[in-house]
Amino acid sequence: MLLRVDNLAIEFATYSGTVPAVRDLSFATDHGESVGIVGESGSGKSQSVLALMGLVADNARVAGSARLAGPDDAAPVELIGARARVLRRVRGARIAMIFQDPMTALNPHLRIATQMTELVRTHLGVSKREATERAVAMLEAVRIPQAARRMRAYPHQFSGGMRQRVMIAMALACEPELLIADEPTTALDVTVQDEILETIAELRAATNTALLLITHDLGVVAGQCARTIVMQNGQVVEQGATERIFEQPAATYTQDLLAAIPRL
Amino acid sequence: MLAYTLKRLAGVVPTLFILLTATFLLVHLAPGSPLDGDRPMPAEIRANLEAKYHLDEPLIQQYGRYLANTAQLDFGASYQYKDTSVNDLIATGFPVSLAVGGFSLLFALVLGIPLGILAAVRQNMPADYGAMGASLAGISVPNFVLGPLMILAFAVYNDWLPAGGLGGWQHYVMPVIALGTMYLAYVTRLMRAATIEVLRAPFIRTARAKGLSETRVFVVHVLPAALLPVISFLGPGAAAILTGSVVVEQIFGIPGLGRFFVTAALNRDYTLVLGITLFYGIIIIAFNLVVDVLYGWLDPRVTYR
Repeated sequence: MLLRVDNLAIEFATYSGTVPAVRDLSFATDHGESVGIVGESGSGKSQSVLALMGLVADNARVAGSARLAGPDDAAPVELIGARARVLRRVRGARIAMIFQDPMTALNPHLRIATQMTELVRTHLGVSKREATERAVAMLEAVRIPQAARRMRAYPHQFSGGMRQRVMIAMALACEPELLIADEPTTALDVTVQDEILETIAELRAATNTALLLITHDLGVVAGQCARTIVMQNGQVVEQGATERIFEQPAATYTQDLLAAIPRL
Repeated sequence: MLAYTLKRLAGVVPTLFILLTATFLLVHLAPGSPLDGDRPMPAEIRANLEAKYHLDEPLIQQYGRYLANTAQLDFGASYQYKDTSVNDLIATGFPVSLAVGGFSLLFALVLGIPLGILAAVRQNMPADYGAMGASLAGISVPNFVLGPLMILAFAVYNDWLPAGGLGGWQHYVMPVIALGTMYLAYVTRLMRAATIEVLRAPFIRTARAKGLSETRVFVVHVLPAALLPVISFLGPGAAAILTGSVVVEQIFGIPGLGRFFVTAALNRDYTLVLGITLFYGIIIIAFNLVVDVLYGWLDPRVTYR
């Protein structure tokens, strides 16, 4: 087992009291596996994965446990409440993340080269030249044309789809064991969506990277994930094999979600 | 970028022309004459002087003459300071104002940027409230209040600093604080607001998700973005601090350009008022241009047309 989440709970302390965001979330992922988390806005799916990375807002209180298997059968690493040093060694190196809006997720003030090589150099401790070579290779892998030349470009010189490709290249540059994709195609054109999902699937297969895919698009889950978790109001409604959930949804909420897919 | 700079420079001439014309009309519209003194002047002497300075000519002719001289960067002779050209007065006064203004700006930036960052990082905590309260006071207390208060406290009741004039570094302490405090407050607030905004930006979350150290996140990702508003304030700010030293120079008896400006206006010294106004105009335009070009260098999304 690569990642094991037990009884994850997240609350936000606000002026008007404590607001629960996620209650009692438990699931597990193995190496190379793909798990989809679906649910409507505010169902707690994004906050759950941000909690795994220790990236929730300062007013969040996270309880429960999330253990990432140690490398080479070492003791698992507890991510919830981990020290900053521990988290920094996990982030980007063992668990990488792609965000919803590639327009704002890349730093507009820095060249692609800087943003890619800083990651590689932080985790792999290689020279600047090796980091650059690695970055170019990754950009080529996500099919950025003229990758070496585009390294000098700034994010605003790329289209939305290409920016998301850069994000993917960056996320997978250090060959993480788990890739978290938080609505990776929501902000993109429908035609670009498929290309992005295909790119993720392709690169994942090559490195046996597990995928945690968050989406509200059931079609995306059906195509990408072996297992599915359905969430509503911060709680798991049901989880299981994607095929089973689509054919025999147990919960009424899942049935409603499936019925809401427009048919042609 | 070169084409843009040249285009902006081409716009300078018409701007200065309008400034010159408006100022020329205003000083001549103002009641009184440069020859009005404490005692009435004999009519013959007055007529002679008016002829010498061409004040007897129709206004349009004086305007044409002034325009022709100014085009050759000759601002004429001062009416007030005998045997001294306006160019000479600017050359002696400006370095003094530049030193006081420059140190004030430096004071504002060197203290304001870290203070703003501190307030942003400790948002809604005592350090933030302290910094914001102090900066509100800094913006609210005008320099003509702060200056005399400091003179009382540090020069009159205690003999720590000289009350006025220029000499060693001690002479600069109070004028620089009096002139710079308001800008320090501005810079602090700008820096705080910008840092808070950038810290919430999605790309900062990306930087953290990459496992970068907090130091690198701050220095490489937060700081350049958060400095942009301060940089764009620097243009008008630097111009305002240089031209705004009028009051502070008066309070501390500093022989700078601002002091000449005030006495020139009081004495209807037409040429000196016009010369200093134009000079200030050039400074304001130059600072704005420099900042606009600098801004494009810092923010790659800005393109010049």
